[in-house]
Amino acid sequence: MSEQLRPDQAPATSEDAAPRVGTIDSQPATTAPAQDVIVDEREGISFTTRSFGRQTWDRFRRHKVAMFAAALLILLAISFWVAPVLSPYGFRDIDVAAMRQGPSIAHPFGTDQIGRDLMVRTFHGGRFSLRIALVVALLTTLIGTIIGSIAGYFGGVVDTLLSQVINLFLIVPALVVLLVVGVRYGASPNGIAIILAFLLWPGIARVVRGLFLQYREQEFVLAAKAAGARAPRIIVRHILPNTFGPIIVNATLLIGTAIILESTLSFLGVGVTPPTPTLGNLVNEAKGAIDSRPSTILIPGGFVVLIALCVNFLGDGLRDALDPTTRKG
Amino acid sequence: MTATDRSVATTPTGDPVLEVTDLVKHYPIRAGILRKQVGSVHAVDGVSFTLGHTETLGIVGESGCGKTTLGRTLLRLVEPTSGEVRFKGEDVVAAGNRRMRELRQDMQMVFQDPFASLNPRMPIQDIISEPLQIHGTDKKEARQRAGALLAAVGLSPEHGNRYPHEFSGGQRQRIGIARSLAVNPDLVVLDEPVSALDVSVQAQVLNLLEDLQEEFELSYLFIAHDLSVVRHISDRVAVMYLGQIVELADRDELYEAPAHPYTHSLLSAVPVADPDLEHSRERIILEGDLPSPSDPPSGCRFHTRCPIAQDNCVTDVPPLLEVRPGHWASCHYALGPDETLVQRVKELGREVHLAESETGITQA
Repeated sequence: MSEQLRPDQAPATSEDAAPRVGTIDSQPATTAPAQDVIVDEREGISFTTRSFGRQTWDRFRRHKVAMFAAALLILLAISFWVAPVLSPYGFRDIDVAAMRQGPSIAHPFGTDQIGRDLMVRTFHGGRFSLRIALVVALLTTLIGTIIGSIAGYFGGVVDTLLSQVINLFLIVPALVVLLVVGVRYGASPNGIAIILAFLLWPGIARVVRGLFLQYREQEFVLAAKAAGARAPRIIVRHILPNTFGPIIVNATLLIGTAIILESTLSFLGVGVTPPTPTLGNLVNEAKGAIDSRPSTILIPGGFVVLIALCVNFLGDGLRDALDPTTRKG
Repeated sequence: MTATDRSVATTPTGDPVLEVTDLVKHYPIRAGILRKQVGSVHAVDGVSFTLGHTETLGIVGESGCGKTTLGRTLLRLVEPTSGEVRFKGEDVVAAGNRRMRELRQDMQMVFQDPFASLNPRMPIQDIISEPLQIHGTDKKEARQRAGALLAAVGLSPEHGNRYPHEFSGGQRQRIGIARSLAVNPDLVVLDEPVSALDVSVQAQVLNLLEDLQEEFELSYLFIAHDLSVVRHISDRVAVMYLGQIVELADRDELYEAPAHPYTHSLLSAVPVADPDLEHSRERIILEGDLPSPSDPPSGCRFHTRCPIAQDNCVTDVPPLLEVRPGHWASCHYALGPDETLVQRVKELGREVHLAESETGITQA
């Protein structure tokens, strides 16, 4: 706040110069259509204002790596949905005349052991993997936020009980559960997504609980209580909007985790049932060809790494832009 | 404190708005796996006073003496351990949830930290109108009233859709005041409303509070640690030490003829604007730190730091007695109207610990 405050030495009435305004990041106020100046005559000061969204975007924009990662992710997502449509091959089309081919003009990524075009399968696989990851991120965030906010806001016995449940889920060996439950229910993309969400929610729940513990003692929450607000109103209208930053960051990072977990499961053969391609399935199918045609395993594997990397950089950028503890002013 | 005739420890003007009797708030200290209670913090320990219609009662004391807890307990933002709070004759502590919500329209609070007391994600017209909306006013009407309230506290109604971070500390505190007035309360607990503000802005906010008190017929409980601010705004002043009121009197009486040695030493810590007077006056330094409120001293709680304590102060709890008309103090050896603490210490033949002149310049 203090950096926003500047003595109003050159009031906005000055004709020859644009009003001098202080901005949080002390950059020249060149990009200022959404800004305006508050002049408080009583206290003799003026300062610029920017909305929260605007401030966040300004900070995020300066994070070059995150911007690049975001652009690349969007590009990947578009290509996953568009490329299979443009391709002359279907992802299930078998061509016995073109089995086990290396990269060529007709098949840039090569073909698999029954002659399916690997490029269309990779992009299709990316589509399935990304869809699963998004569903996982949404579901996980939803469950984790609800349980975390209840535990953190009410505290006491409620918190003790829910925290024990959270801890119980955290100590469960995820891979074992996935192997057991995955065999039974994991055949469809949505089934996998639900299983992953069920295993991942405690992480978010703990973050949200911590934030609620912190915010429920804030004076603005007390003020709402003094006004007669009940718990649901305080949770939804007062505390939750203040926790969006960390929640969004965690949800973003979850996409990366989910992509990797889905690939792991599919590689182990308990993920989405073939022939539906996911990036993990493709790596699994190609594992026999690791010596003869390494590109068949490196390409889908590379996509997994690329998506996870982009998501993590994006998450870092969002954290820097949204985290209130790094927010200046 | 033993039970004394504390209900008389008051000189209410007109019908009292607030009557507090023996209010206690202990916070449990828990330890171990079983969360067994191993002790308690005596934040507020037997406080009684009354507050008259349109009166301002100042509550002063050091950090950690229970001022803030007292204010919050009165509004049941913190549940009291025991004691009675009567608001316009009605027992607030016994009120059920539904009744308590209704009562909250008449009892409001302004908070200390203008940067923490406004939700950063809400436009200020929603912040101000929320109390109205909670109590059933429709959104449009509530927002109109928010505009009127913004004008009443000296802000521009057009700024209603801005967010708190777009305002300065003083402006934010005005917003907090506007919020507290939205439901048209009778009582406002002001918890250090100006201590986070610059001195120049403090004066503006204090004047605003005085104007609003007149306009809306408000009764104030003004909690602060700044003695000069309290003197400026209060009709009567209560001094708190370790969760108890040690002295309660009309403002001028308390500042000019304090009876309790604690009040004396507090007042002597306030610098005087006249440099000659400032250098010539004798200032008593309090020895030691504030004792822990989880293990308050026996007898008189002030005896560990009191320069005039005697043997019986360690064992006997001094009741809050009317030492002069309308002037209450809890001290076995209350000072007379023209007596200074330094005189008393010298009379007792004890060494006087005086503060040294900070500038080191000897006045001619």
